Amino acid sequence: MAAAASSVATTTFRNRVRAFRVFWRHLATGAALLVVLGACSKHAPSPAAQPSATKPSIEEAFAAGKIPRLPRSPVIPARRTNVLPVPPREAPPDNPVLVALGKKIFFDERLSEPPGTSCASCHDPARAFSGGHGSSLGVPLGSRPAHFARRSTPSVLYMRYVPKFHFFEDDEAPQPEPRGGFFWDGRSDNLVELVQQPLFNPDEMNAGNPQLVASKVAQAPYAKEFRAALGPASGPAATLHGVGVALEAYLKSDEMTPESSKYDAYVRGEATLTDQERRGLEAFKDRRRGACSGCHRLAETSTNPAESMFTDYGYDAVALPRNRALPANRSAAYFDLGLCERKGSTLPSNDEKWCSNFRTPSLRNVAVREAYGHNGQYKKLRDVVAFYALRAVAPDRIYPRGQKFDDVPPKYHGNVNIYAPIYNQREGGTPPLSDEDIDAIVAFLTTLTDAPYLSKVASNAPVAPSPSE
Amino acid sequence: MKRSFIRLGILASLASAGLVSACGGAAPQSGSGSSSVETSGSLQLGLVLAGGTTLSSASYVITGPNAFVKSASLDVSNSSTLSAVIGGLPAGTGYSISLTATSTNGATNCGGSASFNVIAGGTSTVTVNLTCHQAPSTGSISVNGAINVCPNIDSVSSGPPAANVIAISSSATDPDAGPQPISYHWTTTSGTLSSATAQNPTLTCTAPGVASLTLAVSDGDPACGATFNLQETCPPDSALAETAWVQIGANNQASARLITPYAVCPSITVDGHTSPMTVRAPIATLPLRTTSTDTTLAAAMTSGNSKPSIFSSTSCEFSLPTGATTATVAGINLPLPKPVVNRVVIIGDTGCRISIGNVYQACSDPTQWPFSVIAAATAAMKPDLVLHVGDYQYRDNPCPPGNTACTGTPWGYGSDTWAADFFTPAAPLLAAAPWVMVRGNHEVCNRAGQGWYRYLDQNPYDSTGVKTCDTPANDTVGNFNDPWGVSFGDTQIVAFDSSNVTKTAYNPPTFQPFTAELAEAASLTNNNLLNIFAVHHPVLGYSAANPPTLGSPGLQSVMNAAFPGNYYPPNTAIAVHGHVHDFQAFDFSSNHPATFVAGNGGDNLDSALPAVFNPSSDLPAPNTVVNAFAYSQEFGFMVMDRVGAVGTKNWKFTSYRTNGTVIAVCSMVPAGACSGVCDSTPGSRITCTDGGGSVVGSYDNIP
Repeated sequence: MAAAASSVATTTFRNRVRAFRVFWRHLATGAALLVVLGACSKHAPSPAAQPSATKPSIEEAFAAGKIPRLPRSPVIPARRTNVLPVPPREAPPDNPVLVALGKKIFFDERLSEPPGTSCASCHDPARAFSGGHGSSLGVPLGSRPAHFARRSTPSVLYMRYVPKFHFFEDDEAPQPEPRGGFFWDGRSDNLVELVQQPLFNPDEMNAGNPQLVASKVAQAPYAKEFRAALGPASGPAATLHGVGVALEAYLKSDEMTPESSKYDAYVRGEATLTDQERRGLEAFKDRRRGACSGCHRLAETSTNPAESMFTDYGYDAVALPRNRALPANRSAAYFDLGLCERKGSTLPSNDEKWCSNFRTPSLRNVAVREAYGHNGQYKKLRDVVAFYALRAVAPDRIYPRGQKFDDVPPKYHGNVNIYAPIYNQREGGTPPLSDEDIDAIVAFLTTLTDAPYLSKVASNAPVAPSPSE
Repeated sequence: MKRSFIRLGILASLASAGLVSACGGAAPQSGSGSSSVETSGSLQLGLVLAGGTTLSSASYVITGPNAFVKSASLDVSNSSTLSAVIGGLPAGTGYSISLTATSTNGATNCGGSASFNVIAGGTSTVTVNLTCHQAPSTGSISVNGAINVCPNIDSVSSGPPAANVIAISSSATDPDAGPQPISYHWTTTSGTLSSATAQNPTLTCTAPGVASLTLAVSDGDPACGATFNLQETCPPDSALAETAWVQIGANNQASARLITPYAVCPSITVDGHTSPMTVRAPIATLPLRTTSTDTTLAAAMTSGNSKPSIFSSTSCEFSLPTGATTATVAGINLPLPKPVVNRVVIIGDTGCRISIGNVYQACSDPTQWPFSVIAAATAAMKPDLVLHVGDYQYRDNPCPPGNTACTGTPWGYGSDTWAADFFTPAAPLLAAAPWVMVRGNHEVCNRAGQGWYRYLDQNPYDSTGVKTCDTPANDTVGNFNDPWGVSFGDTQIVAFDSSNVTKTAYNPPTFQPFTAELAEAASLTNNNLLNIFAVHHPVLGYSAANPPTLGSPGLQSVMNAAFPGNYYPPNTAIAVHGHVHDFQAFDFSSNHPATFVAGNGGDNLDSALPAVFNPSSDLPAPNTVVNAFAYSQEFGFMVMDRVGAVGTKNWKFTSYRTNGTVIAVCSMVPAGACSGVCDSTPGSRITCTDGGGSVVGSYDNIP
């Protein structure tokens, strides 16, 4: 058989399978000819000599036992490597003083250099706290012209539920899998410290130095509340810590955890999905079609929204096509390596296998985003869904000039997930999602829009054709 | 015959139940008069009831030696005192007087008795403690001064037994509601009361038969109370729908097993001889131990997902004599080993997964967790033997609040979870045939290992508590067991405990105790038999992951060290596994056993293998050559049917879906019929067709 396999190695896999089937038929026939009492069922001895003939057939057994005929192919949420999230952390009760203060800081445009850019400029409350700050590249504009952030803006809603970065090893998974942490690469576990990163990033708020920020806070309209809530600051570092504490309170507040989508109402039994939305949900879960829920996890049977965050907080190398509009990508040698750039004691030393892995984003409010994926390559939700449908079967429609996985360094192509459902289709095969499926999934994903953002859905409605057309 | 008189002093009390007490203060009446020459005597008595109660009638009965009886009424109408002298009593010893009286309003009945002797011609004074009962809940009585009206038990009743639990209710009244609220105190001669002080406790029977309960009520006055005796009948074992089965261990020894809520095991009748079953493991609450959840979720900072294992049932066992034809226990006719085995059902990975970090399976929905249907369907196929390839119990963690998929399911590793995940749904199949129980990784010590040893392990239970998985320090003992062989005619199942195998290769690969156990397995495989190696983890199989897992690296390393290149002991024709939640069938043109995976028995199914996967190059292990590979990701079960006469070692393997359709049928290629690609172990080559009759090729994902 090994020889047969190599002789057809250049043909398609489908042809190889056919070749094996032909070989097998010869083998089976040969066996039957050589031995009269062959084991093949069509050459079986007469029923009288067949001991099992005294036993009920499956049909007789089902009839005699009144066994219910269960439906075939139950739709089961696909799994990647058995990995689904740990339960959400307990939500701490809001401290209303800190929340109000944090909100004022979040919207303070004075902190940036030059002034004019607040956290909310990119984490736009009108776009479910994501956005481009006027940039159409897919990554947001910073406080200065022609300065762009490195990755697209993640929504900062639902931060309350994000677990700390850790490795989780399911009993039956072959290896531990990374989970959790903030940012696309999980590099922070701590919102108090995290907020300094966009603040001082020269391509984002460019706030200069701690002294400058501290002096602005001291003169801010909310300075009195700041002192009242956090005490007199002993220095710039203490002021920045206080900024972090207040922002963390706001980001984890009830206000930033709206849970007011149609989907939330649906799982509570208070809303009905349209036919198209329901078909979208089925395709989203079906491991033979979208299999999206393998990573973008949901629990329809639970009224607890925390079980339907539409992420497993895991990491994957999905190999989005390179966003050639990004300034950094003008250098062909440049690649954003994601998780393996993360430093810290919690990442094992053999971290190259995590290169080009990025954290699975929540899909809540996904329909009002301006850009999709860590590199912001896609601007339309339908295009992202179509990417998943086509990446395996028609990579030429995804990647230009035959450069498959063009945003992953060639030496890390082995990290790209080609095994999980939807990625694991044969090239040249039928897309696992039809155009109708894609539209239905987009319709379903639109039900994840929280009430305040519904008005933004129309402008991002699923009207675009698939990306190659 | 001389007669004497006796004088009776009457002490009356008001009591509403049968305890003799003295709460009404009535002074004995002094009496007088005597005669010293008569052969008979007389009796003087008197009664005063305090508190204004008056008596309307009183009567007495005196019994004495030589069958002496005297009775009469005393006229006490509208009197509150009673005194009399009764004469004409023959002198003698051993008299007793019994006195009853009724108050004018009919609400109080008094009674009492006393013993006395009669001296000829004399008058004896006898004090009778007269106890007055208030009619229950009716009438009224005037109480004053030091009088405390005693509580009265109005009713005691019990419900029908629910399994071995009997609900008991009682009511009592205390007309003067004092000095303390009514308290209840129960005792029983058998079983366990939910509370000794509840008004309505439950009795949990620990043995069949009568339990005598006593209720004592008190109003706080130690001299004043009431008792009631109650007889309850704990149901016989046969009324308890107990779970009983037969499993086959080493040397083909069949063991009858039974789970009872009682602390004692019932008797078993085998071919007319009745013997007691022995307690394999008693009812117990085991202390909290480290579980796999603790380890797995430590990094995820969750807690509270483990709890002590409560085993509220006794595990019983009895070694069945070889050749037994009938065995009955608790009204259950046990399925005994058959002299000729023509059909074997193979199932695996049957539990419903409730596991943080994995999935919350909808345990009440048979389309999502079909084990009950699989058990019923396979039972209806009338197998002669059942092989379970491991993983019986998957409900590790609590169902999260708000998740209706698993609301209310028991969890953890106690008897309630074992019942829900295995014994209850498996019942029809446990009743249908003897089982061979292979241990899976869900039965390792830090998961359901405690239940494994109490219920399913084929070895005797370790009553010293070492090999029981109760103590983590002893897990290295509890996580390994010797293999054993179960033979039937021309065929043998060699069962191997791989439950604790590592995910990675052993270094050095001569890992004990596996190396010793493999040597033991090699001593069992016998070239006179068709040897089927049953081990939970697929040694040469696939598992969908990123990237797919090729076989079990841990087992491959030790098995390759023990049997270089072949992995299996000599003469191993077939390998059967679970662990991966799908159906797989491999035909190797290399010298390796035909391999089946039957892990699709109920637990959440695994993802598909990738279409880009290629068994011709993605080999399950070095030195293997996959000639044909079929798999399916649907729920189902396997049936192994004998082909031809015993001695031909020929079987047909069919994998069925839960709707009764065929996933694949695999027939053994007779020895010698596979010239050129035959390996050296007869029976190890198979050819499979899918449900439509097409021959399976090198890689068929059966739709």
